Amino acid sequence: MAIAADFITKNNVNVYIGTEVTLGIGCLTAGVWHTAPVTDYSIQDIKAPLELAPQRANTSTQPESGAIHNRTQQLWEISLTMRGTAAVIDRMCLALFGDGTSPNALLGNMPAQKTYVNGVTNDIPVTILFENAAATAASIDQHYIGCMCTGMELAYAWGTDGGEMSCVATFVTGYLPVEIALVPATPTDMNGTPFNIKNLTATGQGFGGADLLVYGYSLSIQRAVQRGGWIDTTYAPSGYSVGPYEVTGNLTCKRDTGSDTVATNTSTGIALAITDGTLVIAAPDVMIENLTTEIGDVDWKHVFAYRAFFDDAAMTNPIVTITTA
Amino acid sequence: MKYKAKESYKKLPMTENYCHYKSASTHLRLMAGLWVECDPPKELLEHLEPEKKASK
Repeated sequence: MAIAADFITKNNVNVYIGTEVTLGIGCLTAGVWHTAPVTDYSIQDIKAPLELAPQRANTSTQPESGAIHNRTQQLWEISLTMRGTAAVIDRMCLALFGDGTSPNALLGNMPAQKTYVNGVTNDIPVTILFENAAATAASIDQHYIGCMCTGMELAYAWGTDGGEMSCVATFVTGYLPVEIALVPATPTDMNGTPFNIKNLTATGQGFGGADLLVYGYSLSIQRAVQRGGWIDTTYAPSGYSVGPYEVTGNLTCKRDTGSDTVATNTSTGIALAITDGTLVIAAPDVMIENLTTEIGDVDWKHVFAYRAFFDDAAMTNPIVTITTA
Repeated sequence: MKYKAKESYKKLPMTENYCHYKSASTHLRLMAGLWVECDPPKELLEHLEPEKKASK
C-alpha cells in the first residue's frame, strides 16, 4: 500500500442543484440543473450514528459486540452559502416551501405536501452535485440524491461582505452519498447581481410603519425534515416528513425616535417591511422576541429579534412574502 | 386576471396542479376557494374559472 497521490481543492469544485423527477432517483445528466453561485459549503461523508449496548456487569471495558452503526437514522447534511441573487432566492424558496416564482409566499397552511415517498414522482427534492469533489479521484464527482431543504437564511449588513446578501441553504438526505462521474448537460447559472443593503430605499424599512435606518437585516425560514423507515440494504428512507416552519430574523437599526416607537410587548402583530424597490420582504404579522441596545461611542443601535406569524383570519394568509423581481 | 378552482382542479395530482408550476401558494389559495390573481399555464385553464368582467 502507498499513500494516494490525489487531492481535492475548493477552487476546482463546482456546485449544481438538480431537480429530481422521482424521489430517490438522482437528477440525470440531461435533467434540470442550476449552477449555484456558492461562496462556501459543507458536506458530509458516509457515516452513521454509533450506538452502544448496556455495560455488562463484571467488565469495565466495551466489547465489539455491543456496538452498532444505526443506519436507520442516517441523515447527511449539506450546507450551501450562496450569493443572494434573485435566481438563488427563487430556487431556494421552491425547495423550501414550494414557491419558486416571485412573489414567493409562505402561507399559514403550508406546506402543500407534508410527506414525500421514495419512488414517487415529485419535483421538490433535489440532487446536489459537487463536481470534482469525490474523495476517490477516479470517481470525480460527489453527489447527494433525495435532498430536502431544511432551511434558508437571507442576510446582509453594512460592513459585511460588501453589503452583499448571502443565502445560506441547508439540506438533508437519507440516501447514501455517491461518488460518480456526472456532468450536467445544460445547467442554468443562478448568477446575477446579488441584492445589496446599500440599495435599500431611504424610507420604508421597519416595523409597524416606523421608518428605520437599517444597518443589518436577516430572515430565517427553517423547518424540520424527518426520515421514515428504510427500504433496502443501503437503508435509504421510505420517505420524508416535513414541517413545521419557523420564521425568525434580526433587524439592526439606528436607535432613535423611530425605533423607539416599535411595539415590543403588546402581543399584537406588526408589519415588517424591507425593500429596495426590487427585493421586497413583507411579513404582515411579526412580534418582537427580543430587543437589545448596542452601545457605541456614536450611533447606538437597536437590535430587534423578531418572529413572524400568519393572521388567524385565514389559513391562506402569508407569514412572509419575498418578492425578487 | 383572477381565477377560481373548478372541482376538477381539486382532483389533480401534485404533479399536475399549481405546485408543479412552482407556486404552492397559488395552489393553496385555489384549494381554499379563493379568487386568485394569476397567469395559469395552458394545461390548467380547463380546470380554472376566470373572473367575469362587469359589463358597462
